[in-house]
Amino acid sequence: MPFKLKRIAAPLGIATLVCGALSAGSAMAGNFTAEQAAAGQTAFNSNCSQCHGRNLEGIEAPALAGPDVMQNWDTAGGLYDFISVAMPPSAPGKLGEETYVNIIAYILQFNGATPDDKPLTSDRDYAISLPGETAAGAASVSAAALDAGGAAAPAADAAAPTEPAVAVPQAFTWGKQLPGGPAPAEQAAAAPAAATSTIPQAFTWGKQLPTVGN
Amino acid sequence: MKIDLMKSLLVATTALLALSGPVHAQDAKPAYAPVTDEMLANPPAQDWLMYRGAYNNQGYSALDLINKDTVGKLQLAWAWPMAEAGIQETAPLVHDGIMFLQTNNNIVEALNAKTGDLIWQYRHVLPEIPASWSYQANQARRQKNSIALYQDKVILTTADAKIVVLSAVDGKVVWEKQVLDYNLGYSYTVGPIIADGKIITAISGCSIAGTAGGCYIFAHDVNTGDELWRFNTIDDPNNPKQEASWGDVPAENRWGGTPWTTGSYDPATKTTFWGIGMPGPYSELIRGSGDGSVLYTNSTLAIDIETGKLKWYYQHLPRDNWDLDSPYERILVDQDVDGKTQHLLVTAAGKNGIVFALDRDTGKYLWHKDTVVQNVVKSIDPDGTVNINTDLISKAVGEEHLVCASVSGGKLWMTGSYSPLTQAYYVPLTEACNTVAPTQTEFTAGNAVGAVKFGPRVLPEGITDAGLLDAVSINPTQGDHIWQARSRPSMTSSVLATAGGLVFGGDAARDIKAWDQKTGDIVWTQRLNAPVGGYPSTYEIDGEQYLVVPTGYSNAASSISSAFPEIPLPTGSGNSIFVFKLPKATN
Repeated sequence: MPFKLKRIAAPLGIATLVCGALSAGSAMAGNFTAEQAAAGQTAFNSNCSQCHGRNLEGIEAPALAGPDVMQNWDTAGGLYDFISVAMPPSAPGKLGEETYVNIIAYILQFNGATPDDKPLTSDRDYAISLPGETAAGAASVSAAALDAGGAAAPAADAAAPTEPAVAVPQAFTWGKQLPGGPAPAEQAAAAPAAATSTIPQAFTWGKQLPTVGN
Repeated sequence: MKIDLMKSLLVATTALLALSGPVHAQDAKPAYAPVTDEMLANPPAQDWLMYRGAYNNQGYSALDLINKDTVGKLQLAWAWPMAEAGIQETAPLVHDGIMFLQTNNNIVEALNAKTGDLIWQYRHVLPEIPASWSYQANQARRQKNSIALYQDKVILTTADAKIVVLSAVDGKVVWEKQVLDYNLGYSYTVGPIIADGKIITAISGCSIAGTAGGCYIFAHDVNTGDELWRFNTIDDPNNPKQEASWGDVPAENRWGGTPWTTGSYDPATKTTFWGIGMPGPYSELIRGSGDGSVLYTNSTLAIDIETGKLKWYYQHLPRDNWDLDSPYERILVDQDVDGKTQHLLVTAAGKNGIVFALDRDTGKYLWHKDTVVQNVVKSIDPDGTVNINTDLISKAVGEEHLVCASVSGGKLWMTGSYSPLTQAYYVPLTEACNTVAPTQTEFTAGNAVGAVKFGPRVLPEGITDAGLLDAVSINPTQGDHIWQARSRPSMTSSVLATAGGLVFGGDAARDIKAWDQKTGDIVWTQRLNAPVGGYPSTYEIDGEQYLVVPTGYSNAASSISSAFPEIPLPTGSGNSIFVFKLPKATN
């Protein structure tokens, strides 16, 4: 198996493991093909959308769209490790490797990544950065929904702020260099909304955090 | 005959509007026996008046017609599809022959509890929020537990952070109050307690970015809705130790501390007890709080109901790095030992499943007992100080550890019951672990501030059964396992203990079961349409005991279904209630 699934079954007390860092990828080539994303869309709508929503907005299950979602899953391999074991709940792990990879391609495309002629394969994609790949499109998920054949986002309630203008606090560490974390400048690049948003962030956001192996 | 004609018109009209109920010919206003303060203090056995049946949150019924000898004869009396999809965590209440059923998106239905006929329905109109506020939108689809009954009113807390008071007779709004701003992320997901002339509520959504700095337990006047006091669970200027426990992190960069399980109430001391959830961000690396214990997260709070002042607190899991909330049921137990009444608070407080006993008058730690496999708490000192496993704290972004229990529990919202018959606490649990690795993310409106990547839920090494119902003996000195019932599928419902010597609960395999309280033997099983969910409860009408069982979509099933692939989950929501009773001849 190309992906390192064995670590999931590791015994208690396991030593630390390294994930791909945010800086491992950058916003450039797609690393998946349009055909993969198209097949992934069909598979997603058949197997996933009843819980995650046709626009990946989340209904019963968590949303799969948005820059924070991409940042939390971190890498394509991280997402694969999860869904290829646990999803869908009615048939966990039973969709087959190709289908899981295609679904990841679709999630990448939906979040704004651009396909190219290099297929997403399970050999080389463990460290593909989700926030890096999707940075260009992350600011316009609604537009991506339209591109992907989804419906436009519903109009905001009159009392609710419009999306780009909403300011929320960030973590105390936001903007700081944390070990293992991206440099503050890269945080801003990975999160395109940062320049216009005053949304609350983690205390450590933007700070240099320790890196694994440091 | 004029009167007959009026009767006919009334019947026709009420049928059309689904407003049946006890209609009287001379007076079109249906009768309804008000829920008095005396009833709330001493709930009649035939009713299920509040979230866990009584202020003590024991989840115990004194009804015993359904018992070890008769349970095998249970038959379906009626069933009802819930009005809304979403995760199913409802707690049906019953009073005066009427069942009050809350479903997701704050829909309340009044049903004839004997026949299953609809009497009225209230559909709360929630504001539309931007599509990208996905975490916040999901709150409306995972309403936990309950509504409350008081006098001739039904009191509801809503996903848009309102208290709504309905007439119990017709479901019409009497008054409503916007408590906090839903645009910041605040929502109610748990129901209120009504006590001492007050509506006691706790807000949720405190892990959503815009809510930084404040998460609250409130008291509002039960008649006017005026706010009487509020207590902030993450910023207490009256306690320097609390402030210091967050290190350098100012209140405006603190999240979490959500009290997301309805608390209990001790009328003798006028104290209300609430459990508090995890801190945000989840990892101290991202939180910036160093080795601070981040009070009052993962604590029990004892609050004076008259003043809102904190009487004591006890922290079950300091310095949480793994989203292991500790807000679950705080159960009040009185036991006579050597001529003295002991006032205990018993709780499987958090996701790691550890059962604690405290002296509820002082907050003093008495004992603890492990249940599921967990590796986050290494030991607990005799004075109650909890020592965590610091090896599992990530020192760098992306540093991953395998943590047990998982973010989905261990223990979750599904609530245990205490039986005075056996002096035992029956706790539904799941054996599960997951990897946890911090991420550095920019927060967005309407979304959570966890900043952690979780791996899939997996069974602990050497364990093949996800489900565990643990019967823990309760006394003032040391609890122990009376029995442990294990099963391949995970437990997905709260449990109900009854004077019939039974514990009812259900699982991801769609089976509602009855266990013998003393032995753990399964004495009844019935397969239903979806994972058993919510809070099974029981009531009596016209000398017949009824058992109501909610079913539907369950996080506790879907998060760990890979551990029991031979039992496929349904993909339909299936949210329903099933009501059972004994055949007439049996009674």
